[in-house]
Amino acid sequence: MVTSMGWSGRGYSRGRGGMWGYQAPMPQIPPPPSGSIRIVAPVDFSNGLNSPISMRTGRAPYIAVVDVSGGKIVNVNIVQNAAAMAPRGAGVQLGQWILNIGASIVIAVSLGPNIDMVLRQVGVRVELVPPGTILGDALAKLGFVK
Amino acid sequence: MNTEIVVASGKGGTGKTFISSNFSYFLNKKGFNVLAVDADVEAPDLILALGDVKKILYEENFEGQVVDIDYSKCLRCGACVETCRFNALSMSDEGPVVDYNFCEGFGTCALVCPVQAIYLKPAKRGRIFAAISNTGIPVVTGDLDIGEKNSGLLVYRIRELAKEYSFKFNARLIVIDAAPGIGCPVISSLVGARLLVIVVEPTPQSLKGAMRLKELADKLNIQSLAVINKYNLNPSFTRTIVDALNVEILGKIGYDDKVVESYTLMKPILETYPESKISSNLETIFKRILERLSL
Amino acid sequence: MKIVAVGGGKGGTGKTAIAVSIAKMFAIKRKILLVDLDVDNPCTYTLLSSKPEIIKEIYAFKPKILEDKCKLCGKCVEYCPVHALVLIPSKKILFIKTLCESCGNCMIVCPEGAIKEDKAVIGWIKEDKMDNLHLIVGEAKPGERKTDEVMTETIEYVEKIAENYELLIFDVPPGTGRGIYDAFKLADLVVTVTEPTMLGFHDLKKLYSLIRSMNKKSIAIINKYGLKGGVQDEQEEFLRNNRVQYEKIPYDEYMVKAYVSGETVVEAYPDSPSARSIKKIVKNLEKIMFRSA
Repeated sequence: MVTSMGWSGRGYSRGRGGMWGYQAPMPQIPPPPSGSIRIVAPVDFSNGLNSPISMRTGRAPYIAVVDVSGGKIVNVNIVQNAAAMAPRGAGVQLGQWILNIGASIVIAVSLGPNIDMVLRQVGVRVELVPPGTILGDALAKLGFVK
Repeated sequence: MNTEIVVASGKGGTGKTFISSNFSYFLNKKGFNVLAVDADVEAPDLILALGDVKKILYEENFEGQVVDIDYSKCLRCGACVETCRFNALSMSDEGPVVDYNFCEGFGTCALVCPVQAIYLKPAKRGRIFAAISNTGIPVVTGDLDIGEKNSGLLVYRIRELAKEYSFKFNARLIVIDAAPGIGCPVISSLVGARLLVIVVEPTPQSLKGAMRLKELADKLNIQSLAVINKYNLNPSFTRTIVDALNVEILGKIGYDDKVVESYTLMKPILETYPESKISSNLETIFKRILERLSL
Repeated sequence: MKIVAVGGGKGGTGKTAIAVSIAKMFAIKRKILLVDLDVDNPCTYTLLSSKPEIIKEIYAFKPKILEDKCKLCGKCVEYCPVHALVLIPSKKILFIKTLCESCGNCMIVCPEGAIKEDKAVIGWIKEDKMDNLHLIVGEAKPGERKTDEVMTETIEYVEKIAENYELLIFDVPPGTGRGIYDAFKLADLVVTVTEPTMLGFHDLKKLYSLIRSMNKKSIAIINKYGLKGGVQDEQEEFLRNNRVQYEKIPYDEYMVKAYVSGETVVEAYPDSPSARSIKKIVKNLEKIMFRSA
């Protein structure tokens, strides 16, 4: 029944990997450098390693992506969480992105049922921390950073 | 940092708004700056229960998306009409017509159109607003257009607006009247909250709903407490609930004319009948909640 | 065969109790089909001491991923508007049933034809027959979001057996969605039940927006009339301005008592003011529907 697709992103899908319709896609970020592990944490505002880990995950305002190698921080990237604006399935959209960017660890306060299921599929390690924990402190406490 | 307390019930009609409105009133009288949030947008009665709107402080449209057709390209082949699983498209003499009461904006029709004559566009689904109620308590809530339903995103937007206003009003406590049931809007009402108060009435459906709500709260690491409302409608089942629901029961509230009246008058019962038994039961329950929060 | 849809506001207005009372009264002389469309929480049968049994399952479209054909391109994930599909890198496509809206986008965009139409149970149609009064109940699976679909299928089923009855009564839940629209569409008359509270009035106005847009004949019932502080005056004015004929059921303790004991007020307290009003309403409906005295 479909003769042509016509998906050139003309107003109804925002470019490569764009979400259908008017939803903004999650940002593209390069894969983790070799030899490093990638850690993701939802945060309430963007303040580098001083960002507080958010009580929300799927609809957290920002997502912190930290690449760690040999106990040292290699990269810190804090992006706006486009998934927060998903009408439904925000946790799934975020979970998909976490898989796509090659993260192997998630630090959060709690996980909604959907994102929990998605992360389990690839065995992403989940570490739960008390609300208000600062990102840098969590990384140290969990032993990712010396 | 503000503390969010969610009042929810696994099934609608249990009196969740009765509890959340009186709780907000109680906290206000005790001197806490409180902000009330109505996440049950399909039945936005929290502000009514708090005396109705005194003044609207802010409002904005809540948008979703719908399809539209570029008739200059349309071949009237009817593929779109055939494809839509929501029966939102029908064929007329002028071509396919969209029924916006039913269009969900998923765009399946756009995908099958051989000439890309269908596109997605934003559409108003309702509005969200912040207002002061006649009891002096600020309320953040929303209003849906006909045929529209509540969603996780809408509840999220309402809560975000509430957080903003909680800073403006210096409100440390936010009372959220959750959407009924256990679906997406409820999860969105719960996430990040400090405490859940489950309102259950003595019927099997209500108990089932309450148990599922507790499961959800446990998964989200939220502490749960329960209140049995309208207990006199079935005192023996009330006892069943106490055993079956693995949650601390804060107390029981009876159902009688005074409750119905206070609802009609749009005033919390703590204001209309402060000396009644119901009011004193409510105060005991609310004091216990404060104790559990160490406030 | 005539069709009446009884619609109204949120839990507590007494709409179901009234719909069941009307059905029982008509069933004294006529063959009646009462259809419970409150699929999230049907309770007509609790007032009829009935235990309806499942006669049909209701399905919704769900995609089935054919793993041997799937090339993990992720197109389906991109075009799912509700994120019900996830690409597990190098492994498979994960389908999250609870989020699926059954739109069919995934099936259409898959370049490999790896997604087939499958179905999942989203609800049931149940039935019970009690002499002249037959009951059909539409019930959604707990937590199911596609409640409109369950309602619509129940209505379609009922349409097929409708000619066996003299009167069909739909007990329609509050709201203004698809299922409610479909019930109203078929009805010869829409009966709206409201109560004189602000929320009741708010719901009434919304319902009448829909009824007006559908050009349906309707009558309104103001239940719990006489509630202290109630907005019945404003409601009556609204109804008059909209040229809607209305009836009143006075607020008395008997309706609640009957409800609690699982009966209709017309059976439990036949001489109460509320029961007598209902009987009067039924006589009126008889006239409107069947043009008899």
